[in-house]
Amino acid sequence: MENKDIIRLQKKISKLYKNIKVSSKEDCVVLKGELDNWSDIVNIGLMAASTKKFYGVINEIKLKGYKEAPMRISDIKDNEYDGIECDVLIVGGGIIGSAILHEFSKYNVNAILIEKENDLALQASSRNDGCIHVGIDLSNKSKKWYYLNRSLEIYEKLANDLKINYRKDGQTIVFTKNFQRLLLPFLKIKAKENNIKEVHVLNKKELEKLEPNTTPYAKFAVKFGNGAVICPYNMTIALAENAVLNGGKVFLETSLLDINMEGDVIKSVVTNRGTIYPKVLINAAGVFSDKIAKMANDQFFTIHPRKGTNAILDKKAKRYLSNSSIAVLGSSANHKTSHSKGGGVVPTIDYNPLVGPTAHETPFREDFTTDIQAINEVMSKHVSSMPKLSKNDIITYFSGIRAATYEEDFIVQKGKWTKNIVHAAGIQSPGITAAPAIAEDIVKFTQEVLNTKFTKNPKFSYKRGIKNPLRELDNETRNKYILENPDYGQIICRCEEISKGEVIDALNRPIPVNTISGIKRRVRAGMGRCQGSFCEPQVLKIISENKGISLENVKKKGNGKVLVGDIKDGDSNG
Amino acid sequence: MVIVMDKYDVIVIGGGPAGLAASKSACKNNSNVLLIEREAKLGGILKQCIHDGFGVTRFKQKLSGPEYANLEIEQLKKEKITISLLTFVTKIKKLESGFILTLVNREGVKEVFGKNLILATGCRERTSKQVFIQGTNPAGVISAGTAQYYINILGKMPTKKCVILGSGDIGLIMARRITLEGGKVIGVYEAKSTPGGLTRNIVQCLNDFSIPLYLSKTVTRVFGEDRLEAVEVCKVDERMQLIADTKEIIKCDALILSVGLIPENELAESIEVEISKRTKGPKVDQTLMTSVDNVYSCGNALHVNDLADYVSESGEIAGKNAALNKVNNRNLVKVTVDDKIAYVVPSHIDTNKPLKDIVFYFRSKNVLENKVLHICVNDKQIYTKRFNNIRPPEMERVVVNLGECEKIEKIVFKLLEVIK
Repeated sequence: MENKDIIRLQKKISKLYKNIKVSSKEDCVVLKGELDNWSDIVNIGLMAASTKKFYGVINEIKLKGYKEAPMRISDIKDNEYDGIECDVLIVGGGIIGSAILHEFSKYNVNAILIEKENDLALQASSRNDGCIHVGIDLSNKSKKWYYLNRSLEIYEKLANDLKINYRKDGQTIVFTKNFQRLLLPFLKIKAKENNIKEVHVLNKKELEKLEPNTTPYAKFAVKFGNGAVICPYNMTIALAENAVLNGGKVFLETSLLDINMEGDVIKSVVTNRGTIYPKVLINAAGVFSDKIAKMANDQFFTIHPRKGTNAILDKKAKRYLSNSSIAVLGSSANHKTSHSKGGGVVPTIDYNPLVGPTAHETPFREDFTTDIQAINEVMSKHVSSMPKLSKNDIITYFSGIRAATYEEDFIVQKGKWTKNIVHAAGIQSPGITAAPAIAEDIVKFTQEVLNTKFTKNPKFSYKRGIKNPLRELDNETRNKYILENPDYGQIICRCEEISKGEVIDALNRPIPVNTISGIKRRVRAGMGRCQGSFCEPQVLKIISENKGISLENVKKKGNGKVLVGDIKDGDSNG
Repeated sequence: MVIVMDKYDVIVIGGGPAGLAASKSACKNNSNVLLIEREAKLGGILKQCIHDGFGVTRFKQKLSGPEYANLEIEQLKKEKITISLLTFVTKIKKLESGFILTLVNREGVKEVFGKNLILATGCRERTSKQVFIQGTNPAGVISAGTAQYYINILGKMPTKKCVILGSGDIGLIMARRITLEGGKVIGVYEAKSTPGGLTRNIVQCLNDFSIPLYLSKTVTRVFGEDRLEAVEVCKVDERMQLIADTKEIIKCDALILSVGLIPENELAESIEVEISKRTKGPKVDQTLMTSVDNVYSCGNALHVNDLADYVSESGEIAGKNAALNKVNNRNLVKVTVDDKIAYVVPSHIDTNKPLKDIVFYFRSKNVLENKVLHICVNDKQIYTKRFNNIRPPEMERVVVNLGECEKIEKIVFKLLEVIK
């Protein structure tokens, strides 16, 4: 970078915005000032990144009148983990952190993952559509594509090894205008460049046969056979659980509060549960990854949170749903930027149709609220690919926050200034897909930082000791399980057919949980059309009995208790 | 090894008031009956309805839900009947001669055969997301039925200070119940301009306890990350559109929803029983047989009732007819309604089945005064009944003899003005 790049950018920005100061920090650009509109702040960051002249964009422009909400942290304050030393400390229990812990558990490395919430995958890793993408929309010069391409080679086997369902339905782009055929040669070249296998052009007849419920205005379609779906949060949990069985450690409700530096070296990490002394810190902190980088004097990028909302429909709506993930060209939820694939209608791994997502910039890093506008937006956009979709079939909806950088690419690298930090930051879509290969490289970079070569963990195994959901078994096998343990024959969740035995198993897995939402995510009790109206009290009772927690102290999620006390007449026997 | 499957004339799915009555009447008509219930005790939702007002028609006395259920259960136990508790039907397979059901319980997985099926599977509550409440997803957003379970069965309070959305009967009853147990109900909010519950419940549950009822107001948003901290309410117009600048934030720790019930018909749909868009229950003829031969529907699975007494009555009709069922050719005539009537059950009449004294249930779409119900067969008026006051929450029941009508081709229900 030369000084004239800074001057040029300053000029460009000054034409549009007043009082924004552009400066440099080595080869990074630093933006400072104060503005009224968040979208302007994001826009300036994107302008800086689009010059491609800088190593990174540090956007410190403040939003007028906005005081950034502090990171949600656990109420716990103790010294449980004080003084612990380890080889690597991973910050963040999303799919990236969990995949990294899992990768480390293949070696003789003392690795610890800290997660601020009381369960894994509570943020972006559970708040997405679960698509394994093929990467047609990505530049093959991007890290996004690089890691996606490598991960696709290993994903299906990894999922199978971990007993996580992986369904290769493919992804279909529907075209509604004949002139769009002109795009086909380019699409084919792009597919070849991006190493995408199984590309099929479907004429109207073939499309109607494969996807009878898509729009009658379809002229033709392109199907990418390699596209797949998984359950993103159960993949995350499986990676972490398997890592724990192989020697990795997971500390929940442990928030990183500060980092103690000594020159350009991290000495220790302060948490709400004591100070931990790692040799290397791995930054997989999602929307907070730039904050962690800053604490470690290694911030060369900035996260601008981008919110997305998805709607989940009743399984019954499957009858008129697609057999693959499907989207109409031009129905993209965000025309302006090509940073989000635009979403579509996805038959999830559990066969609920999922519609979405939206994409809206926001200063709030942990704002998971939903709005009716977003629901209307996803439904009206995707009704173009699936005309029979109906708002009446929606059973739930949720929002997530993408950890986008201004470069709109992943950051997977060793620290720029700090010696013993490795970043896996700025991970947004296709992060679920890219996680396994990212984890491999993080281990590689860690070896470089430590100037060592890790020896293999001879006891490593993919075993997780969990059963398939009983509803998926044949009668004979199911019967055998019930004879061994009658709790497997007592159905407590009617919508998803989940037994009491499965709930008890989920409470006692390698990373134990004791919240209603933790159970819901692991076994699907409460995921169905009644949304827990019937099974929530049953799950609450089972948690209470098995974990020795009183009924009123059982939590739905976080610190949210379901019950507030006894009735007036008191003296209940539960 | 050949496993001999248990065989029954009639299998009843669901041990609530509809299933209990259906089982009993099928037994009384000499059928070999299996009653399947997924919970540990019979009685269905009645078990948690400890308020009174049940049984006025059926038992000529005011009973609580559990008392009503116990009377039914005692009577049923006099019959020779097989009862399978804590048992869940995972699959129904339709054969020429009947149905094979896959059952799961603590003893294992087994299959049973039934010639006739009665679906008495009840209903479920609409959720906050089905009425598109936005915001966070905290603890403290629960359906009125779940709140009722926590208070009446577990003896635990789910709230100290709450807002209730929806003036359906369960919502009203829970407003009183929470108040009696020391909780504070800030108000019952109803999006419609008229209350959703029975008049007696408005009086006895709200007015008697000075709990305010706010009409044309709904909850649009909830606040609070882990536990609910407040709700946003907003006025709505007659077309249920939000009125701008009428938002109000109310601090509370729970939102209790009584926003409608949906008949549970997932098993019915799995064997391709046709479902009515109006009732969300199966289309049935006067014997309560669905569009699938030998499959019957009754109680809240058929359509949402406001009185358990009617639920039992429909069970009785289904049970008796399933027991006496002789397969014959069906000739179904659709019962049509005018624009003032929301629906009529049964939705069809089978002219090849007995036509004497048919029980019809219907609901009006709106609150109406001084109307006359006209029932016309082949455009000829065969029945009239005057209603001074007719309200959607209160289901009406009429018994009509179609036995003397010749060659029925058309049946119409109309609500007309009283001619003075």
